Amino acid sequence: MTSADGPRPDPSGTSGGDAQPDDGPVIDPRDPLGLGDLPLDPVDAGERPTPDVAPEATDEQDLPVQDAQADRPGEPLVGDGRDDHAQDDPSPEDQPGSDDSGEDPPGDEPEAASGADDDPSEPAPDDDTVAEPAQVPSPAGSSARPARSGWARLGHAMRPRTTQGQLITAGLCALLGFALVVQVRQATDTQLGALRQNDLVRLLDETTTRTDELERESLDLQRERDELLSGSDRQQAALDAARRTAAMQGILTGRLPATGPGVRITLTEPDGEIRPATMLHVLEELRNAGAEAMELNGHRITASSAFTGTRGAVELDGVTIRAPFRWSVIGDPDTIAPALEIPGGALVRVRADGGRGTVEKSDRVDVTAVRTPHDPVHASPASDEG
Amino acid sequence: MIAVIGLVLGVLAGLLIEPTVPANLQPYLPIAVVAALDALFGGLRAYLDGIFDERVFLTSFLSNVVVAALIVFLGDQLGVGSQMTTAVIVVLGIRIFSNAASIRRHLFKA
Repeated sequence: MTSADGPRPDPSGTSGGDAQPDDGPVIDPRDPLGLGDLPLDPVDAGERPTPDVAPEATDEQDLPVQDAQADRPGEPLVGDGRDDHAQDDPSPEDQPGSDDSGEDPPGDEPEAASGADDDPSEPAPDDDTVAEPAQVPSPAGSSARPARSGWARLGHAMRPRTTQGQLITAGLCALLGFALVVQVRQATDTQLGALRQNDLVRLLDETTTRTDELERESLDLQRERDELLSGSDRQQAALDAARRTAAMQGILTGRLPATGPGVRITLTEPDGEIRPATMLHVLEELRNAGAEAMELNGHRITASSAFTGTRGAVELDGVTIRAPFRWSVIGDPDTIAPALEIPGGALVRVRADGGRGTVEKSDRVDVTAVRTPHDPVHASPASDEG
Repeated sequence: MIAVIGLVLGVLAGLLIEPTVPANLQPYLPIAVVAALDALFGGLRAYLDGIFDERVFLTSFLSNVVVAALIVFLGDQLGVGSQMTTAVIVVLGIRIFSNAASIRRHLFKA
């Protein structure tokens, strides 16, 4: 600042000498430099128009206010230096008028304020008031000045000084740092602890509601699972029953092969021919004895089987069968065998026809022949019970 | 310089003491911290503008903190505490940004 102030007296002399070499001859008494230039340019001076010279001379000699303003362009450096100096040590009595941190002045305002500050602090009244308007319109000068002084101010602020303001600022900064650290620590420590009571209550409500919903959903799902399980159980039971029924009925109708304990009966015709009625008698005897599946010469015997034909040419369901007649019967062997041998029974009839019969009990009799039952054409199940 | 030292001292004190904030003050501490940050930036900007005054700084610092906390407290009483917190934070954040921009213009000429 003092260096900026320093050149102030010089420019008036040097600028006068540089800018106006022609002035030399006129301003003889003031400048020795002008005098030095004088002998070099006497011819030019004589050629140059004098009107330029005349006002300058008057400016330099007498200092009216209007002329001083016109003369300022040569002197803005002085104004700048003064501004910087004035802003470096702000006058505190002006500050309360403008809130520093509370309000955001639009850029130009602080400069104007600082310009206003200059007046009381600076001793020269005329130059500053006049220089200020000259400075404001020139943007280059105003922008360069705070940029230079920004770092300077920062460095100035960094200089350790123990003024009251510094102490107050330090105290507030310490408070801020303390609170900052405490808050950061707390924010990282506990997430829920920083919440308000309302937020906590709302959070709790949400959690409870969510829990209820989930429990309800869980119950629903569990019930559905139970239903599906029992349903599948029932379905499985029904399936098993149906399967058993199908097996039973398949055996009874001759649709399925069967195996189990039973008897094998062989009827031969050494002395005569067995009548169809005798065969029917044997069959009925077997049924009475509880035979469950029967096969005769590779033909399955069912409820609708019939013996027709004549003696010596017995037909079973329209198919002629010939001796020897081999029966495979599944049933209780101990019941069937005696039933065939009872007096007046089936085997007695066979012998009466001139045949011979042997009954052989067996633990395993296979009835492999099957028949395809016909669907009933006229009959249908009477009700759902069936 | 002393201000920076004070800031460091405050941070160190917070780290060492590890105080627990009372539950009643917990919602207001972050607001107060942001308000104080705003005041700090405003003070720095005012200093670079050459219009810094410690009295104004002290007053604005404390009043910012108190007013911010009061606004949030009032919001809590009215049942709009969280919204009010957001509003205060937004406003203070905007101010901090504008102050930081001004400081940046001062220091970097851009």
